[in-house]
Amino acid sequence: MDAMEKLSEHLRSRPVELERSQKEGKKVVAYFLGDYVPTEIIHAAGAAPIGLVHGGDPEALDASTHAIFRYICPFARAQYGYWVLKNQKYFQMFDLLVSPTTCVNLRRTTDMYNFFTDKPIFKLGVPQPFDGDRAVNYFKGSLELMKEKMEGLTGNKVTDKKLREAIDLYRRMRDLLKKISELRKSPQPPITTTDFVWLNHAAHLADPKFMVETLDSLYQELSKTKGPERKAPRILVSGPNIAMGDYKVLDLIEDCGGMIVVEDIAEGVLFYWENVAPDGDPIAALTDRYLMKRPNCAFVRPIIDRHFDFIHNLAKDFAVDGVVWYQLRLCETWSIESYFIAEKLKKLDRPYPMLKLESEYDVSDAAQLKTRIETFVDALRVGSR
Amino acid sequence: MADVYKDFMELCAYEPQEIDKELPRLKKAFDRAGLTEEDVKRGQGRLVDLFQCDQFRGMRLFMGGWVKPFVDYILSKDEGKVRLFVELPQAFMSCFLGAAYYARKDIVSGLPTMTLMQVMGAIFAKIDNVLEWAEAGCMPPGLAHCGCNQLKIGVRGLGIMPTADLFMSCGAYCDEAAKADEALQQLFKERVYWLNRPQDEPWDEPVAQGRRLDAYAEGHIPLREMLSEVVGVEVTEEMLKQNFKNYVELYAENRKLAIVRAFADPQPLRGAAWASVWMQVMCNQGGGWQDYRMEAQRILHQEVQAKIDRGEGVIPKGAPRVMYAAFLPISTPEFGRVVEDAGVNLAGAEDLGTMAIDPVQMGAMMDLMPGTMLFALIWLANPYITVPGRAQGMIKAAAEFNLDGVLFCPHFSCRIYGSDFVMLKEAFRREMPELPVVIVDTDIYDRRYYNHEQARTRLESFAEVVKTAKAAKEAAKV
Repeated sequence: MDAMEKLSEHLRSRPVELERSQKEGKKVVAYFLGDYVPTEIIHAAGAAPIGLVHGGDPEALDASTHAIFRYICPFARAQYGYWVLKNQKYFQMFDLLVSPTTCVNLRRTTDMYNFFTDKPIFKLGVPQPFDGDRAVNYFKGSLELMKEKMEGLTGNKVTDKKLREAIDLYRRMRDLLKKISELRKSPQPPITTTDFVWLNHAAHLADPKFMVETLDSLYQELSKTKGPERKAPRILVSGPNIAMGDYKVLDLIEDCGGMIVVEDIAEGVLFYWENVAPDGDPIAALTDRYLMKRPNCAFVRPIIDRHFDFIHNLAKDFAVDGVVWYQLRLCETWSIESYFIAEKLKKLDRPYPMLKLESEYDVSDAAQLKTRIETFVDALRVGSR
Repeated sequence: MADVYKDFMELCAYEPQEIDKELPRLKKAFDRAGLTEEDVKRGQGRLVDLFQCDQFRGMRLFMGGWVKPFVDYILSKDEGKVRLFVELPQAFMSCFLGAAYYARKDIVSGLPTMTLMQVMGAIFAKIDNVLEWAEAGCMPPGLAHCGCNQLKIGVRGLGIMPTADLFMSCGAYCDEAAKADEALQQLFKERVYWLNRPQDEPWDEPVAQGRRLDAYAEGHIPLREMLSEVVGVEVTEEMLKQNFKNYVELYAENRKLAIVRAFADPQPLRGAAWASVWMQVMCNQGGGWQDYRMEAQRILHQEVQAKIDRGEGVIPKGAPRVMYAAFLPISTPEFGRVVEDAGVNLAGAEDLGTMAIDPVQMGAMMDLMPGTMLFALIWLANPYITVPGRAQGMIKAAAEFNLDGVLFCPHFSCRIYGSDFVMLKEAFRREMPELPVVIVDTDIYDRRYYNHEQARTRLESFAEVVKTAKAAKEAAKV
């Protein structure tokens, strides 16, 4: 896949390229994941949006221990740990960090940046309950403030025209990701989910125009290709997030003979499944997409029934045999949610088995995870739908 | 057998005629909670040893202020009462729901889980089965689920306490609390209202303003309407104001004793006793409980002052005075006793500096705002939302009260009150490097999360450190 190779090359040179453009006055704006930060606004202000997508590294957790206790989610701790380690340039180079007020774990990470670094931070106010107009108005107000902040940072006015252009660019990116994703509905998917998740990670780091061109070429390539013929149980992976570098569970599922065909995670369907409306007030369109149309996030209250419906529909659309719930240990809201999703999947007329896995970026649990995944995949084979 | 219960009730300030009337109710409630005669005997000992109920009528009243609503909560459904519940961390909102008392008297409102924790945890040391019920379901062990939230679920699952007619949830900055409230909705079909507490304050904004205040206050309006619908009579803005006033008045009384106690030398009131009093004030639902608690507060104040005047204390005179944060473990009141036995005065909690409620300021606002807005304002004034806000408050208190050390006892699994102690310790190191600050892992709710004997070793070492530091400070003055 030439397009993937070109993208890898682009990502390798991306930090250097960003540093160069910073010297020429361009601003780099980092943001925490979870799909609440409209990159369109950052792009429209002429800044480079960079998602802090890295994780999976126990060293980053160790590096955070001087600042926080262990019972904060490993992904959140790692987001600060990389700043301490200084081995990921993205964590050092940004001119502003946009931190959405989502889960308490990432809010604590924001506190660590505030307390131990001199990095400027913008807190993006996210309402937790789905309470209709109040939530919409509050989030819309937050996006207006973010727009002002970007204008102040870059000195560039974010006009409606620029914002619509940015929306259009990201619309194309999401459309292409969704088209590629849907190729996995085939019995012989032309792309593995590990590769597909990596593409989603790349979308948070790459130059968006380059990303769209790459995805376009890749889609052309993949739509003419068939994957290997395999008799493998088709699996949906659900959970809060899978960071760039945290591919352990995805790899183990494939190694154990499972075939992941769709992922219900922040760096997957959450990013591309729903798009921003191309017309009307652009801030209202962004509010609608980033707050109301998004499928899930466990800190939102209440969300379980809505999330279950989403998973169930995905499972039907992608002809799934079973669900693997993968979450990081100590992620408290997803842990509670997993119980109810599993119960609801069990009670369907045609139930879906669900395996819940937790990990903490620890290499030592791979063998235990493998045993559990193997057993699950074998059971799915026997009881294939 | 009855004498055991009667003795226990006397230690909780039940009046003689009240004992005769209430004994069957208390026994019924205790039976449902799985509390036996043996437990009640043990509880008597703890009321004396840890909560000084033999020395202070005020403490007896306050312990009754837990036990009496505990019975009410358990029996509320049997007795046909309207049930209006909240839980931590939004303790203050009990006062919002409690305002319904002015519309209808047969309501039971407040924080049943906190009450259960104080009774079954602090007095009887018997809550593990409640935690285990939640662990067997949606809050498994090993994943740092909060004991408070597990109790909320377990207590309903075991049928100890009924569900609410209206459960007010906001989670504030605790996501797990709000998620556990969704679990209540899923498991027990409980009616839950979630408030959106905006959390995007800049770090230098001490009290949330502008759109944050407006949005939060706006969320209280449908809650008031829902409350009115549930109780069947309109709960007016004036009723909310009245109960808000109740809350502020009780807090102001409590604050006076907090200051007296912080400077007391020798210290007559133990840390565990004070922590229980403070928590009851924070969780005050007002309404029908207001006069009772105001009386308890005034009596305790007089009694403590009298002991101070007589130079009587349970901690030796001249002992180092220490601030603790966030809370002493409720389920293990022995924790504070270890420090005190090692000769350290637990002079006060972090709220000496971090509580943003200013009764005078609040009183002045009372006439300017609707009740819903007042509630929004007071909750948004909470300093825990930002680490710098909390650190500044604590450092200010350590200086103002001339404290000799700080004991951080973070409760395991708490992402809000517990997880930032490393940063808070660093804040002290930057601002007051000479002040000993120690972190001792514990848990406010679940004694299984820490080892009491390990904690003892660390607490005894901490006591030595603060004594040495105090001696050095005094020597330097000379």
